[in-house]
Amino acid sequence: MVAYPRAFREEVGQAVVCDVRRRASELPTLRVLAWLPALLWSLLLNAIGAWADALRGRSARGATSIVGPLLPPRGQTFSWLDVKLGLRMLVKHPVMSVASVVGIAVAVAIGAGFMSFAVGYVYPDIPIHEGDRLVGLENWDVERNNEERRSLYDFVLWREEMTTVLDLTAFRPSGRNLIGEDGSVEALPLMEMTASGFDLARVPPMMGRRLTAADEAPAAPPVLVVGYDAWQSRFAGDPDVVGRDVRLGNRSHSIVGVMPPGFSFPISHQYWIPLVFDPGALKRGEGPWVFISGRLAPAVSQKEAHAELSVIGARMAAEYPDTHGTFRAQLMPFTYPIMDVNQQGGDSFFWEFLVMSGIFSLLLWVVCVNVAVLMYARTATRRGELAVRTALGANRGRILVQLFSEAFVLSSVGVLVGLGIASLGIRFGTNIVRGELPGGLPFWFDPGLQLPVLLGVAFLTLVAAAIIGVIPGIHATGRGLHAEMGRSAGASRTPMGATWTALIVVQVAVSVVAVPLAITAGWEEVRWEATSPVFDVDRYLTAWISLETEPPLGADPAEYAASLPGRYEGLIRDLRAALDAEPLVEAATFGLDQISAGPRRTLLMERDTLGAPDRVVRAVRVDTRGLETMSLSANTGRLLEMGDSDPEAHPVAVVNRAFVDRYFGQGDPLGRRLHVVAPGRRVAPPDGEEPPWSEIVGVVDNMYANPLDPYVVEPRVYVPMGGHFAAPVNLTVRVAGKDPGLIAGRIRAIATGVDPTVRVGVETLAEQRRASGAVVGIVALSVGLTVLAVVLLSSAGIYALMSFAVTQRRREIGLRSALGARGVTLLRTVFLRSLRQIGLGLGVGLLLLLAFNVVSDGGVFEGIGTVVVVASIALMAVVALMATVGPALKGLRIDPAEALRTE
Amino acid sequence: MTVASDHLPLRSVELDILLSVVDRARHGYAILQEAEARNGGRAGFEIPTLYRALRRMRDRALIATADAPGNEAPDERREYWAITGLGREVLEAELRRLDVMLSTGRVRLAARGGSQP
Repeated sequence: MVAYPRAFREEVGQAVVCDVRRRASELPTLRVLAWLPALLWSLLLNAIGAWADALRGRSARGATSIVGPLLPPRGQTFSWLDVKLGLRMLVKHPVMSVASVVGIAVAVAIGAGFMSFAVGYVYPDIPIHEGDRLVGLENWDVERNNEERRSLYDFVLWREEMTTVLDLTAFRPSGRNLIGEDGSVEALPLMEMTASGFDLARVPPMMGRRLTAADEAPAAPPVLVVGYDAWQSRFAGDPDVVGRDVRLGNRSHSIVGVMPPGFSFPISHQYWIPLVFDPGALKRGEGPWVFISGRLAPAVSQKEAHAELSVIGARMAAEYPDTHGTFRAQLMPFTYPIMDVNQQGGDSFFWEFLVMSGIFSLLLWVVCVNVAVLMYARTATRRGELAVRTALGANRGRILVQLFSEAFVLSSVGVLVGLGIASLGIRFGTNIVRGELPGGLPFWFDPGLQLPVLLGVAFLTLVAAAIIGVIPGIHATGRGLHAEMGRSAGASRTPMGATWTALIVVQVAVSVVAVPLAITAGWEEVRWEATSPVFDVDRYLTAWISLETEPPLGADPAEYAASLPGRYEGLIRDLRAALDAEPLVEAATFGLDQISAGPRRTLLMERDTLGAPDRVVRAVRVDTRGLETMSLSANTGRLLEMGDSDPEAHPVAVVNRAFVDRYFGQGDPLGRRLHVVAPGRRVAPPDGEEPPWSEIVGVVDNMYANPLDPYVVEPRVYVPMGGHFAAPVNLTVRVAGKDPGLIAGRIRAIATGVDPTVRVGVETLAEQRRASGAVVGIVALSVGLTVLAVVLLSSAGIYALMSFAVTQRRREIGLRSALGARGVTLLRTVFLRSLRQIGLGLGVGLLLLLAFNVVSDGGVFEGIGTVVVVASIALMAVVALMATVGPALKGLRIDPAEALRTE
Repeated sequence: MTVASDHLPLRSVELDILLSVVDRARHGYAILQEAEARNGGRAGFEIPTLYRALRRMRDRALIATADAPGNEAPDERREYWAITGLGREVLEAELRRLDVMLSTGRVRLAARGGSQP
């Protein structure tokens, strides 16, 4: 309300605030977010309107002469000439325009891009009936600090007991091979969902029927519902598709219905099968992991539903401390569990989102203040011009409108460029996500700049223009302007004062802090980015191979599960034999993890002295051919051998050079013992109990290298994979020549030839690297642009302020020179003054940096930090001195006679 | 001295305000809620617009501040607004104007074979 005239504030300000609060408390959280831009927009527009009302009222009472007309009379508020002048100013001051536009564009691009992505994914308008009343439910394990999705047991209980959430649905994305009558095999991503999912979506089928509760019974005949796109592409729009039988994995499914176009609830799927389970046989904390969703009952708020769920969750925790003791049941927006957004202790993501938005807005504010400083310097040089305009009859309001228009043109160009970059970034990011998700983009995601974000940006553009144009304008058109009219045009001179010195000091200080921080952050990105594989990625291909876990109809599930390890072994044996016979294949290895990646795991060492940050290593479970396939040889000790994977054998491990460098330095690693903690387990073994140590028997070279910082290369542990294959197996192949894609089809054919239900996902390492590189690229680009913007703006700001300050003294220099002062003495006076200002700014900046260093625990001067700080200070000092030298020398060159005459 | 026709046509927010306060005094938020209820859930204006319009209409003597109705607990943060004699005249004039437009529209639509009134 501070933007409103005092009379307005005093009269209705409290009522406005009170009503806004009431409205915010009545709306659901998501709606508040959508409403905020509209409210802010209205606040801004009405503030301008209220000022206009106030001034009109005053002028009607004849008070104009006392306060001066701040706003122009009606009809003169806007003119295209102002826009034209604004464009002309852009061209006339190219350096300043580029610096300002880059700064604003970067801030807007990063802010709008991030916010649009976040809004689109996590806070969308879910495009189904009453989509805003959909919620997600999950158990949060406070001990593991992670969600627990093996919650079918809880699902059944919640479905029975909860009255505040209806149509409770459990679903899990999975996959099966669609096996044609001709033996063709196609891997299908499909959704296993309880029939209630169709009630939740409230979309009737286009043909046939949807899933029903009866389909969920273990003994029910398997059925399948297909989506419109799948019906068109896979079944050629066959009007008799309902009733057809298709083989999915081990079972034949009868197609019972087709969903209408556009339906891909609950994520992005085109095939739905019932989530089959026997509610009576469920055990707590067991079973497959599932997502759970539902719809808020009519007139029930999310808070009330959360309260009911918490009560049930607390009762479960008390009743079953063994399985549920550490669980907190929680209710959240529908998208949260699917997008893996966590919510502990209230809606923390929402607040994080707001904080992030705040930080991005802050970046824009900082940029705007920097640009405003530039503008201030420019506007100050135009005081002569402004004085002439005033003399010709322009009132203060008219001049401010002109300055605002110029700033608006500048900020609009910056904002448009920023939105363009953001839009490209979103398209780029969306393509990456589309490639990463098996079924494509989630149905609610609408790629592009989101409306609330655009409204927010429009609002910020106006605010930016106000900061950039009007604030310096108000200063420049202040009291001194009339005095200016007494001087000849062009002989503009602003009294040098404490304000100017303060501006220079603040600008230098902020630059000294911002430039090193931005460069250090940018460097950090470059440092990580510089890690590259030592092996030739173009010759490798990796594949995930998994056996169907759903038993054939009528088979005993336990017996079928028990047969899986043996079948995996058989499959690997057959695949290995077939690959060995392939002339293109040079080497092939099977493992439980991809050998060139591997999951990050916690490490324990015998006689452990590791700190928390050092505990993370990549742990890779490989077969005996793994290291050779990656062309790694034993540096010290030996590689893994045949006998090592024997369950009875003495457990061993091979580590890489980075592991030795980090944990042993010059010491001998052979014979030392380590333990990699399995996921989900406690880090510390129970008291007095020793974990199953593995002995280090060999050291191999690093698979990755980083020329900038070897410490970035991750330590790796290679352990022999045991004899148990109940999970998907990874295959990595090195081929002769440069086209591993040639072998991809062969691998699929060989695997499905052995067993048509086997699912295979093949990717070349080059493709994998491109995908991950693209994500890193976006981040690196954002950071790079930010660094560029900060450096550009800081340098331009300092240059503008210093050169203006010295220019103001040019006439004085000329005059002194005319009166006989020596050039050297004059230069020294000017430089001493500049040096004092710069020195003060550097001092304040350094103090701030030291404070940051303390807060960030030595982060500022870490690594290249010291060098960057020194370089930044040197850069700022050079820029400031350059800005001093030019105008000072020009002053010396002024003809003394000329200087005397104008005085 | 202004006459009712000087104030016509009314902005939609002004019409909504007069319609809300014609039978009894109401505070700002109640006016907003009334307007939402009348317009199918969307008032068509935001809170700042409402308050600016209230002040403007007060200055034009279409409405005036009033005491809280007897059945509502007084709240010092709330300002209640009631219609004035001039406001009532303006509202009647505006409704007559709208009525003429409504009839004209219906007759012309019917003449062109559109929907019947």
